[in-house]
Amino acid sequence: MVSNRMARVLQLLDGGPQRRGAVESAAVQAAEALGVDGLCAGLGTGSTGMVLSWGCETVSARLEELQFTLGEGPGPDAAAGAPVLAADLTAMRAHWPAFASEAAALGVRAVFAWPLRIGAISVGTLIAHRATAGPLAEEALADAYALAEAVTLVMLHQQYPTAGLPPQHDQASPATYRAEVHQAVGMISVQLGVGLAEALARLRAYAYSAERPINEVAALVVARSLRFNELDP
Amino acid sequence: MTREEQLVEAFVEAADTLVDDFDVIEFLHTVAGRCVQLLDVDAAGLMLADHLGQLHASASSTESARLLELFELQADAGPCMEAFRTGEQVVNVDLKASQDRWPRFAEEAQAAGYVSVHALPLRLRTVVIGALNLFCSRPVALSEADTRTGQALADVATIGILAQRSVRQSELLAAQLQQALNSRVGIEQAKGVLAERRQITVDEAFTLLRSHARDHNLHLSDLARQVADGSSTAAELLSGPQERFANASTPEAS
Repeated sequence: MVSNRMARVLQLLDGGPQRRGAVESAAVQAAEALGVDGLCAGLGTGSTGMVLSWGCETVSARLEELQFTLGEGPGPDAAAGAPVLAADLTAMRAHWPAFASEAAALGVRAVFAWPLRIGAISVGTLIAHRATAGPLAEEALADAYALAEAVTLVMLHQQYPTAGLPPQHDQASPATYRAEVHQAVGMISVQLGVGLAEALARLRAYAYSAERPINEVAALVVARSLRFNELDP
Repeated sequence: MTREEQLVEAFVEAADTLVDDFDVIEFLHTVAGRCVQLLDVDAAGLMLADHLGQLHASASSTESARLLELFELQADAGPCMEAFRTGEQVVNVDLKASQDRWPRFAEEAQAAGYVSVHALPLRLRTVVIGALNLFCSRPVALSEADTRTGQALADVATIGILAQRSVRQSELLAAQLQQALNSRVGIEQAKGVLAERRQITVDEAFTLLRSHARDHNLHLSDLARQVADGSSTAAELLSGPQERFANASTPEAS
């Protein structure tokens, strides 16, 4: 149920390191597909502020700055775990007193934000803005979730790069992960003494280099036939 | 307790839960458990659809790997996918006669000892968000009364998903479904973390998570997130009681 336009964006995001330019231009096309003026995916959540990571043209970069400075806005709210869909910023004056008026001064009338996460792995947030008020089209909502998932993997890849490993969206998006993948991520995080995000990156890298589906590798981890703390470094 | 009393208790429990602060995944597990108790079936599970229309197992009456496998198989073809796509009940389907209809699923379900399978849509007006899957290992038909009760339980589950407090602009169904699906993922991650820390199976880990959440009045999803991301300080959950020794032999994988 992803639109054709968004499907093309997702293909661009599939590209590995050699297609960096494609990944960046995908942000422009993604904004068009969603019917917004711009979007920005920020890495990192919470009071340490956002490290801008993907998209982030002038206005959305300014919105990010505002949110950080003011400590309020769609991004911080989305970081709490639920998407924020503010079709009309003027209706949010009570909720974001400072942010709403500053954003309006930038010409923004609608903002939308999605948490970028896989279970307890919280990678960042995706923000979109528009100069005209109005909700996202229903098709755009489905597109946005698909985009958020793909961008999550792109950013995970940026945080924990592995030589030659593409973001791998087409091969195994989190939507196709069986429960065992998430269980394995938990186990690996304990075995290696690392966070969940890094555990997922390590699992994906292993599956890719072993040329086996991630679901299969995960099953081995859960069955305790494969322990990441016993692999050669 | 008579069946009627059980029914009343189940619905009072559901109503109490829905008006209070509750955890959606825990609630769905309760609904699945009630299905097995109140209907003449042996296993039950709830599947929810993501933004791509793919079904994911979200709660079941038992965490047995075999049963979960049967849910996963229906991603391509099975009674749940049918109920989800059509919005219609799929009831009293004889698995032996379903080889053509659902080749892989029929085979695996029978291998697991089930004889008949039912799927009831989780629907709200015109939107279908998933399906309630019921399995029976005896050649017993699901009566009309049980079908109605089952559908009512499915409807209660649907309402529960929509009633999640933490989602802003609650009229947006998609956001709530994403929330529930992501909670489930967090629980799987927590199962892995706990299983590895305590050298137990993931099924055992889930039981411990659930009872710890209940005993300490925590949302299962919140506890799971904390266990998964390492921010939980629940020593007795993470390390077990003092008498257990960490160097016990590795348990059999399930």
